[in-house]
Amino acid sequence: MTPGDYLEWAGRQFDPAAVFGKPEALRGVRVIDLGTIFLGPTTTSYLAEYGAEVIKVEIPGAGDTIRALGPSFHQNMSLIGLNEPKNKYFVGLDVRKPRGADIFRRLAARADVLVENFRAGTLDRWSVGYRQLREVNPRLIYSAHNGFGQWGEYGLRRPSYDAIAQGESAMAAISGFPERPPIKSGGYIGDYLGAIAGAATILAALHHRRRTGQGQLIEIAQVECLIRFLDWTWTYHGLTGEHRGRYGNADVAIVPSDIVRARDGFVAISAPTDEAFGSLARAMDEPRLASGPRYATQLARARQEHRDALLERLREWAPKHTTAELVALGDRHGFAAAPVHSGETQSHDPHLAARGAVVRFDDPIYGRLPLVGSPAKLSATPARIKWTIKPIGADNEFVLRGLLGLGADELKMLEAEGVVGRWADKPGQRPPDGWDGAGRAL
Amino acid sequence: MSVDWPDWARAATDPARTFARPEALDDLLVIDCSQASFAGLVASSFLAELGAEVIRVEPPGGDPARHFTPFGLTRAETGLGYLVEGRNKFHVTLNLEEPSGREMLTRLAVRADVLIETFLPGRMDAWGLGYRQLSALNPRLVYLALCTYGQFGPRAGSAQPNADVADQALSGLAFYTGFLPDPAAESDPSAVHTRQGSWHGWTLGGVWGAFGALAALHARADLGVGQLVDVSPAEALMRSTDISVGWWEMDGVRRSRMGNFDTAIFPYAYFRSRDGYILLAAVVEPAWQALCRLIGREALAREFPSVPSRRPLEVQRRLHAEVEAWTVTRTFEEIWAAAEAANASLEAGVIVVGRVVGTPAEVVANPYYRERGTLAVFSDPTYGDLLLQMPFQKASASPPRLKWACRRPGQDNAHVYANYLGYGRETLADLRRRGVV
Repeated sequence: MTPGDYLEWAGRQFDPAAVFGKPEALRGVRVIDLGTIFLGPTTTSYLAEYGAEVIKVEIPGAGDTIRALGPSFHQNMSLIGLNEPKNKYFVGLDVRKPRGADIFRRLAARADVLVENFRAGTLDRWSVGYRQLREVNPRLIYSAHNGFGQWGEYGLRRPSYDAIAQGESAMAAISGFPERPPIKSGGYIGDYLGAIAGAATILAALHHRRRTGQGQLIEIAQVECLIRFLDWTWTYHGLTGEHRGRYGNADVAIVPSDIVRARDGFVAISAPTDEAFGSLARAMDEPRLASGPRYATQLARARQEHRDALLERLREWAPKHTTAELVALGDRHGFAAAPVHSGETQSHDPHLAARGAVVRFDDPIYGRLPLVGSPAKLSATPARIKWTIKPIGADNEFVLRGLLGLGADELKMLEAEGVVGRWADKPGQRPPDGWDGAGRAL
Repeated sequence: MSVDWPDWARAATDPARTFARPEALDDLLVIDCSQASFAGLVASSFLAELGAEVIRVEPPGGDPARHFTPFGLTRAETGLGYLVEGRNKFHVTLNLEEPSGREMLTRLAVRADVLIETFLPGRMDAWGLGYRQLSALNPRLVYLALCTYGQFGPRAGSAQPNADVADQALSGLAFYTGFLPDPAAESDPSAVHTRQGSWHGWTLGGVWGAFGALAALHARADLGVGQLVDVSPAEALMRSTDISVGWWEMDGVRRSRMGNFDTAIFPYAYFRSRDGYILLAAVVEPAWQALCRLIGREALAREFPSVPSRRPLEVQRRLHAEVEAWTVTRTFEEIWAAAEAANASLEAGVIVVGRVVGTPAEVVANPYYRERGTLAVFSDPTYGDLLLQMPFQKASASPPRLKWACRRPGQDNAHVYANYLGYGRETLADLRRRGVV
């Protein structure tokens, strides 16, 4: 069979038009989200994209800070607020109040998973922590996400933001250029890594529960998660006593690998294997580079004196070509050459559109929105986006009546007491002007 | 509750007691035949730390990823990156170019729950080892394919090999990470689009791959069948960059580099202190006002009273200089203490201070990460003492763990091939002679 035949077959397995005709991977898993901004809530978005029923609990009149987190507003909602939550049910419930905590415990009794990202011990103090919830639901998987973990002197008194996790873990210290300070990533990479690593850990805990019936407490500390994934940083320190520095865009472990100037922009070029380096040398019209002792093997190319000279040649060669020419050479010869994409070029990229990596989604409340699709494509149980954000408390009736059996009078009383509630009249909370309530689950 | 939460949580999740507890995934068999890609290695490490039995299939001579190592340094011929991601895996060699090698992989895959590969799309299929062939023999198989351009779409036929820097570039993250040129400087090669120092594209690809495989296994419990899971590390990292596409399409804004500033909030930036860099953040107004009082520049709070008023880059630069004039004369601990004192009078939304270490050595020196079991000197039976990052999750019922760090290529051939294929010493010797293992 030809690769073309395979690609055509694979394309059919992932046909976007067939998605809603297929089952969902995590259907039947009920998740409670009691977090703010990214680290906790993005974890539950990922679970919801694959079919989990996620109930997002927010403080009435305040809600998740993400609703007002810039950089622009559309239909009274922040852009990040429109992008980040997926497929969740929105409940306004003040868990800090005893009646609210009581209702929350009843919700947790019906849940499989809870994700929170408060400072260590906050929910315990409100009587809705793991110790209290496991009493009503021993099968509960309780995932506590924060910066430094739930115990240990150094971390307990420290708040954490994504940028602190990058700073404390040394991610910033090993990124950027030697003559410059440590660089903070342009993206909230500690939050997003913690979110997917947390979501995958929760699935492993569900697997364990299916076999044993046991729930458990999970701790995801953002700083530790980044430390775990700094590849050779720690082995290098341990074996040489040296510390890993900032080496710019050129990789000191894979040679050549760099972001270089092309005639019309910047291109990432990499030849990670000896075979790929042979291809690059042919494309550079210097096939003999790949057979000489200095450059024939990855280990030889990575030696400082060889590496610098080789990168110099690459940086002289690349600007003679346009980005498109370099990408085409990579395709033809078999080395990596990729444009440095921006939001703009991603927006126009037919490959990303065909794969559903960029989707023009039609939301029941907000209408057309450009969104980034779910990265793991599952042929039999694909992810899907059904809706994004809703106003605080939009699904109070569906959840509190449908799941807990609270009647109309009781709900009214709880609303009067401020235990149950909805949005305040503020940007990030207010629904779109003229909203008629369409999109609520009940 | 009589016991404080941190003490209770520590007793429940203490890594010292890990080996007294069961493993979450120890009923699973995973075959990882990835090559020259840390995305595949990270995916199988994630599953192996949580208990899955992982068989690493390398070509005779070893995975080229063993040679992705700084300055060409190795220990016993294995690079410093591979020493991290060989963990808990049995290592066998197998030549997939040989028909009998492919036959052996098929026999392993028939028994497996998950197969991980990172070849160019169609390579495994052409060998008769693709999902459509293996699923006919083992319908319960979850087949995870990790490749920069994925298994379908107009670019999927590209002959370009997997490369982390390409994933980082395609994701968009590199575009808006890095310093902006100093307007006064003539040219500055460090003021460019900048990648993360670590292989962050492969990391996200691998963790997303593990997530996808576990989601497919969850579905298998209901459906009875496995499926094909397609993950592009470039897209996995792209999903980790929030709003770039939306910002362009909805506002016409091309998200650009901000150096150590933030796109929306000031201060949420790195500053110099007397003993290194710090993060200083004051996101809401009371915190910003308190910070201005602290540095003795209350007029700034009146001049720039709102988040939007502080957003333009030239304003951020000016305010940064004002704040840094104060931080640079103080140590991290002094700034921390001053912020804590100022925060005592604030209700919600405080001044947040964090450390930005200048080198990884400072992390190694921090006893917290030894106490928590984040980093440890681990005695590996094959490679000796190694400073390693340990599994990052804590869990009360089925915690992850490190059993061994790494193995040599083919070190487990005898055990694995006896266990799964019934091959003894002489059969293996014959296969070795024929270049199959």
